[in-house]
Amino acid sequence: MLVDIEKGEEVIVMDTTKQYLQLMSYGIFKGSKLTVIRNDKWQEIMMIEMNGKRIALRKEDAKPIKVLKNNGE
Amino acid sequence: MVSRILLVGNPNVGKSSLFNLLTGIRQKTGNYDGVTVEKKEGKFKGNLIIDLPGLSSLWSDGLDERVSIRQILEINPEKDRVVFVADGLKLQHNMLLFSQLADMQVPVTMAINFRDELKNQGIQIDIRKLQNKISCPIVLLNSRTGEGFDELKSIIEEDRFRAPNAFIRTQYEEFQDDVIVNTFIENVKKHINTDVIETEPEIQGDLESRNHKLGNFLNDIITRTSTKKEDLITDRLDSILLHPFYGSLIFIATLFLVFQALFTFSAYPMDMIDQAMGSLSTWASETVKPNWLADLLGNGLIPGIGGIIIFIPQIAILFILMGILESTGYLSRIAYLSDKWLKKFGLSGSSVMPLMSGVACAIPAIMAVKRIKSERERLAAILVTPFMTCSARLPVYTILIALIFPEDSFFWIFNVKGLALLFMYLLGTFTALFAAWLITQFKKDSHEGIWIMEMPRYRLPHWKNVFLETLNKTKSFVFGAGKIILIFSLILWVLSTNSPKSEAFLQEQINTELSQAQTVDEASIRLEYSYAGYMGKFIEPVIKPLGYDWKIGIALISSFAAREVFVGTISTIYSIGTDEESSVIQRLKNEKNPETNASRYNLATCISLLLFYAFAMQCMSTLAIVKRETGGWKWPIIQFVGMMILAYVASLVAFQVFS
Repeated sequence: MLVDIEKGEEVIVMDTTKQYLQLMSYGIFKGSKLTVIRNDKWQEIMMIEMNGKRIALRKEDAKPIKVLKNNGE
Repeated sequence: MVSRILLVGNPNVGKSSLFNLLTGIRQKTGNYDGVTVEKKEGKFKGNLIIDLPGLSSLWSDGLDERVSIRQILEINPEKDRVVFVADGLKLQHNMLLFSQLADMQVPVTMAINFRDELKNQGIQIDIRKLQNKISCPIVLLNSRTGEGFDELKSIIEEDRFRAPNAFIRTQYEEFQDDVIVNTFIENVKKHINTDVIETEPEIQGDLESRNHKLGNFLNDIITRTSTKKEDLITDRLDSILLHPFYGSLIFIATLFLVFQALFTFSAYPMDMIDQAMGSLSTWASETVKPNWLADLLGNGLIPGIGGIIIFIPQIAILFILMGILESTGYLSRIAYLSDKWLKKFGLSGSSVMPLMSGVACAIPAIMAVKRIKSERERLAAILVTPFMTCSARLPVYTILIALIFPEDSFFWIFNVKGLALLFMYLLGTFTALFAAWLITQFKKDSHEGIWIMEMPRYRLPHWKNVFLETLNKTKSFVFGAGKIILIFSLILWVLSTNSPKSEAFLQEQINTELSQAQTVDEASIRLEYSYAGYMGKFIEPVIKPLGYDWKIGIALISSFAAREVFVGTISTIYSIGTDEESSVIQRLKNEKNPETNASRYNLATCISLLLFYAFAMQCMSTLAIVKRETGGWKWPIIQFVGMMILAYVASLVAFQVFS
């Protein structure tokens, strides 16, 4: 899940949820490549980047977004 | 003739800066999304310019975004035009909304903003190629400096807007009664008027089709010639400013410096204004004829207005510092840092902007809650924002704190008055948070969306905008409050200098007092038997347990319209009958409690008053905006009654404990 992704790794959004619609409005789609740029353990939110846009997202909200690491794991 | 030009675009792309350039209006700008939450109108060369709140797509369901969508749906392609403002650094992302506008076939000009930042980051956009692809005029712009603005002006003046090439419009085309009908607009209309769940598959289909179409759209248009210098700076700053320890420390230190600066930098100009107003008041009393006019000016209007003018330096400094925090992008980092803590109180990082804006004024702050997606959090933010220490409380606090602490009192290197003021701001903030926690315990949340917030890059403050906005806000505070204070000062002067009792009765009272004491304060006796005195005395039994007398009662009644009226009122009350050129604070210090002969404004009364003004809902305009935002009188009434009860109980306890 996105919460486990380390900073700097590229992740690909793979699944849809009801909340995914909201993400799509921010330009995050099924198959979108996102880069995690901040994922501090002490914080409940993380920062991701896509197409030059930086977005803060709660880790608990990020859980329904199933992702694969870019090596296909 | 073009009738309306709509400024449309994603959040935080510089629409309001462009609106200011076009109309000459000083609309609020900032480096975070959600600065504009309602449409704003202005004129440019006879055209109506409409600045709309930012939105990510026509399927967005935020309250502010729906304001924009409704306006876009009303576009008449014959008469209306759109300037699509895009962030050059995030053009790929911005193209989603542009593609939807293109499919509506409305005449558009694309204004790609932040050309200076594109240059700094070594990003080149092949404008000609993009223009050929989308078939509408494109301008490379810097809305903060006006670079590229002349080109945009000529497009507007010559009406060179064009409907762009459609993107996926054909997917929506249907034969109906032998005509091709495009159902895209109908779908958006259906979505905006119904629940999102009903139209979910259509929205998902639309967005994914657009994403597929836009995937490689800009590949041969954007080239990057150097590394992301700005991103590196932002990363480095974030590693410090969002650090769990240093980040929090810097945040606390920033707040601390702001409040120290409020007292330290403003002391000298405030003293000058105070002395000038005192001299003006004395001059008016001594030279103006007839006598009643001299009395009205010297003891009514000038002290009343002077009570507000004196706070211009402090309010201007507060607005400058808030403007710097906003325009650098640091406010969004405060939201990031505080989300974890706000969550414990039922709020989120999204509430930081409204709460911080509440430090200036609760009215725009309550309007800014439209950005909050959760209904429960939105209501909580509306109801608790008035606890934040707004600029109208600043004059009240300043006077009361000055009565408690002597001049130039320092704790180590810190000004004690600054520390006390910081305490009052923290008290307001923690009360707001506790109230939010309480509200969210009782209110269910129907929103199932996620918390998401854009984090802007750090930018140097745009000093011109910061100063213009400070000027604008200070002017609006002074003239807004000034109008009310002028009226109240006038009414108060009339009520304080006229009595329902006859002159013979008043003389009798003065003579009775004279027979009991060697000297009497004749003005005080006249004030006591004036209409204002009777009003104060009417509520005295209720406020006496709080440590207040009938004179404070008059100030409390008059400041129910707006808190800052308190200062004007006490300036007027304590000016009546005094010829000496002394400051308001000195006059309050000299005021005695006739029962104990001790100072009326002692520690217990001042703390009681500070708490009353910290918690009481004394702003008619805020109540009106709460009614508008919640759609009825239920919540404003609950808010008013709740805050008044809290203010009364807290002041009562404080006075009984400290006296």
